[in-house]
Amino acid sequence: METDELPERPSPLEAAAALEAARQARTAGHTSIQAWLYLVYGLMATVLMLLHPSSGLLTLAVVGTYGVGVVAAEHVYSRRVVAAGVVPRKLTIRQTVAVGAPTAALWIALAFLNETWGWIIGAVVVGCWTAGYALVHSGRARTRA
Amino acid sequence: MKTDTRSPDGFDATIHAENRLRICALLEAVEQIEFALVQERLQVSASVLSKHVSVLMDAGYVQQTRAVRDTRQRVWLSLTSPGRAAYHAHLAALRAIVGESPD
Repeated sequence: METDELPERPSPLEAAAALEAARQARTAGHTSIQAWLYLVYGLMATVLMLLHPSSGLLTLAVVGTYGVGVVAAEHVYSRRVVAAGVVPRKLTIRQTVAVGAPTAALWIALAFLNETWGWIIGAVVVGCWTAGYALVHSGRARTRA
Repeated sequence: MKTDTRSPDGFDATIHAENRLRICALLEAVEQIEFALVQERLQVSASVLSKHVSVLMDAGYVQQTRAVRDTRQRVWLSLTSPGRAAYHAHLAALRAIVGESPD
């Protein structure tokens, strides 16, 4: 029977049991961000790199299309998580930087290099990085849970 | 809000009750989750869950939102920022009791 009264502080054994109960409950609740979302972002970044627009108008068009893609992907994602009844934790700033910074750094480096082969390799690397991050992040989150 | 049930080391009597600890742990793993799913995943009855959620809401640790989907009203639960902080502090206090090093 649980009451709202202040309980005695638990013994180390009870505290360990409570930690284990919390761990199990967290595992039961754990839900990763749906992997397809990473794949969509990875694919969009890959296409963006392959196009690597150089003129102002083309850049605007490509970035605009990318923006529409992001909004559409987020909309579909939002509908799907609501239907599932559970909204996974968002990426922390650190995790967002981990997945996004290499793409930005590669983009800047390739803009200086400005070789077609460089953009192709960059596009493949970005696609693989995003997909790989999705797998590692989901795996780590599950282990932590 | 109820009286403060926290010790200086983070041990929180409101969270420590077994079912409330499990509710907080499950909510900590997500942004938001439907009441019915929490019930299913923790295998507790609706009345038990409701009772403990009320205590956590009174403490300001959990918030409840209602949304209509497929013509049915759904109740969503989430940990508030103070709730998340209190839960982490409570876990740290438990680890200290056990003698584990904090994360």
